[in-house]
Amino acid sequence: MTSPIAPIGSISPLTSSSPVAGMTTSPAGSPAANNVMGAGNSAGSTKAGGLDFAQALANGFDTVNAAQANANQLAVQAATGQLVDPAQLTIATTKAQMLTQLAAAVQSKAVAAFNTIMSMQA
Amino acid sequence: MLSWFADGPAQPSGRHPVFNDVTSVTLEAAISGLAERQRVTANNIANLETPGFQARAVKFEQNLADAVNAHQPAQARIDNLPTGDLPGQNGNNVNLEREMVNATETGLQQKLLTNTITSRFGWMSTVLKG
Amino acid sequence: MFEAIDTSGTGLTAYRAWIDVLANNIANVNTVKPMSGNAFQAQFAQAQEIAAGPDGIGRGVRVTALPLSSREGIPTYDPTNPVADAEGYVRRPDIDMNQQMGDLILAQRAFQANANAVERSTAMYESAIAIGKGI
Repeated sequence: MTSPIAPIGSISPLTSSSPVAGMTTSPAGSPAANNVMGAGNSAGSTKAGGLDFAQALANGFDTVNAAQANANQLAVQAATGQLVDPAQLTIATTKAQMLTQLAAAVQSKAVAAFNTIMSMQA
Repeated sequence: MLSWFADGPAQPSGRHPVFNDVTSVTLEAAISGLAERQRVTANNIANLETPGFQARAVKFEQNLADAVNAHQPAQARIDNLPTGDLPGQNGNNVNLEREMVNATETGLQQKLLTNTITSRFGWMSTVLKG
Repeated sequence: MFEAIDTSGTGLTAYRAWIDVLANNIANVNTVKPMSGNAFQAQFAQAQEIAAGPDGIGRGVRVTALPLSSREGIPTYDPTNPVADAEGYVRRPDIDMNQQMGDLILAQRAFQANANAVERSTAMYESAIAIGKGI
């Protein structure tokens, strides 16, 4: 089941469920891994210590959720008069805002890459 | 898809399901408290020299903290109570320095909370823009 | 909609009226009148809180009356004065200059405080209006 163009890295579906039809992930050491394009991107890197892209994306969402939850907690403290330093809140909301934007940008890049690959299928 | 443009499923409280998380409700309750505080402060300052006038103060932060702990932030009460300060010569007990400090701090708190509300709306807006 | 500003506005109006009254009293502290009529009568400003609406929040202050002080004034022996009567007496106004000056300072302070309050309330309403801006 080799396709004309081997997968870049090992892009897994964002939900980490079963692979989307038409795309396969190459296990480390398989013949397809030798055709991988892009410097430093090889299927082997998923097991060699680099992060699985899907895992990184999932971790990113956890980070966003944690940042939002932290900002929410500080906001409640500010509203109830318990927050001593307003900068804590403004820093936390800015972090959450930027992480949200980052996660959204990463996701849309991943979707764009997926669409690019799909349009390349023979 | 068109249901997105409706007002959302009817809730007993009339609140939209997406925006009634604890933090949003708490922030809005605090904004209401600050608005009342500002009006009471303005009234105290307007009556700075009115004979016999009794200054009042708004308290809501502790009520709101208790309501948050009880998972009922929408139920928090805003109290408008006499300060009980000692009156001066004509029976008036307005403390101008305290009222000016209140007005200044209320404005800063308002700015902090409104910016936070805007920022949080931004999280959702970012996701919507994809 | 912007009640805090309206309330401070009532303060500006009331303290402005008080300042005018005091300034007029001070300007007339040496106004001498003949015994045949009234002395120059100083004015006072009577003020009262405007009652709260249904929400229980007071709505400011209002000048309710501008009563006049005594008509007799202070009869003073001043025979060389042009308006002196046959016995040489004139009516000087019953005005305590120290009190008037003290009140003027209070009135000016109160006016300024209400002006500052308008600025603070304006900033508050502006930040409420700006919620969601830039999203």
